Amino acid sequence: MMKKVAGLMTVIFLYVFTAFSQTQMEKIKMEFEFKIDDVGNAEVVYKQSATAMQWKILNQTIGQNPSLLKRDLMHQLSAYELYDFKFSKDDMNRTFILTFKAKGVSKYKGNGVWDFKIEKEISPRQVSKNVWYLTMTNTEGNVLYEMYATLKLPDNVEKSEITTDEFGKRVLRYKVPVKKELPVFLILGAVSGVLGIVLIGASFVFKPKS
Amino acid sequence: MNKKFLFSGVVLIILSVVFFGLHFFIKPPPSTLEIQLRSKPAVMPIAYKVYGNPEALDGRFWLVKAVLTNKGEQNIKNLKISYRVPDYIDWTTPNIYKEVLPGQTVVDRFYPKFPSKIINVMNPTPANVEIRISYNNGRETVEEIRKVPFQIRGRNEFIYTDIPVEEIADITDAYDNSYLLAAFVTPEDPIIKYFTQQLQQKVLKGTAAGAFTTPDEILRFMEAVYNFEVSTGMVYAGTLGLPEKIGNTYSIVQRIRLPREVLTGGAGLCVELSTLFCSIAVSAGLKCGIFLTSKHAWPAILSGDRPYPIEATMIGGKGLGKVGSFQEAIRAGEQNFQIWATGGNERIGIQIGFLDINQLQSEGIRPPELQDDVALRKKVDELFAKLEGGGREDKIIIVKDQQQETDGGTVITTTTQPPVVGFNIYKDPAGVFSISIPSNWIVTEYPVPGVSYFVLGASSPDSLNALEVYVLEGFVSTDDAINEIVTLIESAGGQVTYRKVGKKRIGNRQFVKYTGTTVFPGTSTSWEAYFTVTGTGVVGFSIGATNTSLNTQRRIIDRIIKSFRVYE
Repeated sequence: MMKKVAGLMTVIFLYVFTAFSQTQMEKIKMEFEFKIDDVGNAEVVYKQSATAMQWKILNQTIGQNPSLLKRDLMHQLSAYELYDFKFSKDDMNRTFILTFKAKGVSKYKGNGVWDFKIEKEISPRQVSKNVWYLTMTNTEGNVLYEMYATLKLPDNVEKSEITTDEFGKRVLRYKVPVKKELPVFLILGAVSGVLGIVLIGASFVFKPKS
Repeated sequence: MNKKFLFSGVVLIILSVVFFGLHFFIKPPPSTLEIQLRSKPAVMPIAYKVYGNPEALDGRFWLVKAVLTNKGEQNIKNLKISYRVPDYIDWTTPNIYKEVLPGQTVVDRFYPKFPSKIINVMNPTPANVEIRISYNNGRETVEEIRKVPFQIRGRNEFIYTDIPVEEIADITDAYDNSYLLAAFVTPEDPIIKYFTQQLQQKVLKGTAAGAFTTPDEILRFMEAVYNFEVSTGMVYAGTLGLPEKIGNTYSIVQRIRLPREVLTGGAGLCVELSTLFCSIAVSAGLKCGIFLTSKHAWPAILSGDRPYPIEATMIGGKGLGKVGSFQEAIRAGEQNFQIWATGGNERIGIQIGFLDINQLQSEGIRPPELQDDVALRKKVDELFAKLEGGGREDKIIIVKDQQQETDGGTVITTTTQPPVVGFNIYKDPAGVFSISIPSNWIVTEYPVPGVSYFVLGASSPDSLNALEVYVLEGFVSTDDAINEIVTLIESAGGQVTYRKVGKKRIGNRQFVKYTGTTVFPGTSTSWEAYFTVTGTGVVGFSIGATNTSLNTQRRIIDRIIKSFRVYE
């Protein structure tokens, strides 16, 4: 997912920088945050800062019609259900923030185990039990793209590791405790049954005082 | 015996039995599965291999996308999703999701693997995709089948965009499906392969080791293909592209012939001549691409860092009044490329993109499987026989900068007159108008589904001339009427420029005359339109010429114009 979102941004920036990156190397740093909930949905935040010249051209492209970004993302990420897009920009600090939500991002394998796809171009590093740091670099023409992503798994993750799925694709596999409903009636039945037997037994042992 | 204890114990035992009973008989409510289905309104048979490939262009060519959410409080188990397209695809092996937790969403996409027989569909055909969804909701297994309609278009029909009208932001959006044109490049077609072998053997007389690595070898190949087309009488001829409403999209739908049809039929639109050129080039082991603008397309051989563009339409034709030499075609191709690289201009149109055929085909935009055809092979043999027998029989006028040039010192002229054709009178079934139409023109009533005021379309056999008749009820001015039509065309990605040029009496009525130009990819149509206000609205017609001048067929056009009658 990160690769595809980053790929789309690369295309946009490539367009932006084609005009003035013929002679000098441009470096673009893209920052992402993926927050995964306990049913495999994600909230994605993409934050981008720009130089004065980059900002001017960005405003002429996606700044004029950010909904095009939404359309292209929906094309690129058709494997998920995207919704709740928000776009904001801070002209004073030349920064824009795009957020959206995606359903069906992690695949449930059963018994609390989930798989989050990590493309082979991405370098993952575990920061804590439920936080991973993902990086990717790419060069297009004279533009060097550096992508950094923080992946936050649900707080109650028990274990997470990089492995491969049944198709040989690299995934981040994590396990969250399975919520189990207590069999309340069964417990009550057992407790009351035991107590009943104990009381009936006791009725023969403890005779009433006459 | 302690009666209190005994009584309490018995009560607890009874309660225990009740609780056990509740545990086994009272179950939480079954889960419900929310099903949302999204689907594409139409598929193009030419791209059937693309639709079946989940990897092609990031998987954007799915036919159905099912979004399934567990809305209950229990796990849904053993969720199975299977699809079929009756008459084409049997039930697919189900995609299985063993468990879906409460609140979890599963997204399942269907990439239909159509059989190659779909390429035989010639006209739009309604079809359905059926989706079978079964799952255990915590209490029982539920199965339901849903049906989604879509269209299978004719094999020659190309839909330029799937983007809904309200999402179209600029001209490139109106050509969003352009990548799929790469599916029209058919280097593996047995007929194209046979043709290429014959060309290499009989025209190129073989190629050197490491062929096509030098500019000279590349140009020799391009010249052989171009001169073959000219010498065997191939001509440039348009096909009709009409705006059409498909689902919630409005797109130009253009009829594009397969390269084998262009080769053996002897005529092609700019994009068809480009796909033919690339088919032959890729079949010969070259890399090829197509430059695309809002009005035009032309091919280029790719070698190293540079393209070798060629203006394939310079083959012209007698009807167009000129045929360019290979050197002129190369020069024109290079000029177009320079203009394209700077964004395009009024003449060649706005830059849409470049189709790197080899790259696109390696990414999954694959052409259809085409069967060998003895009759077509024979036709190819006849073309080579024609070439060996002296080439083009028709005489050619080579025109450059509006000046007639000599060919080998002799002015070549043609004396052939256009064939005389009869006229049929078309009488509107509603009794609103009548008009004379050449008997060999193809007439279509209500050519654009859903546009009720576009009542009649007619086009010449070569598709260079077209007549359109409009009956716009409720309109009170001709300006409003033409604005309505222009809006329709522009919503489909066309660009229209026009002006009012005065009045003209036709029959016993006064008409307002407009002239203008409509531009779609690869086609530029010059037209005249005549509208008159009636008691119930505005009635009128336009008559146009695609990629040529109206004056080429002035006599026929004048006769059509003069014949128009409105009845009240």
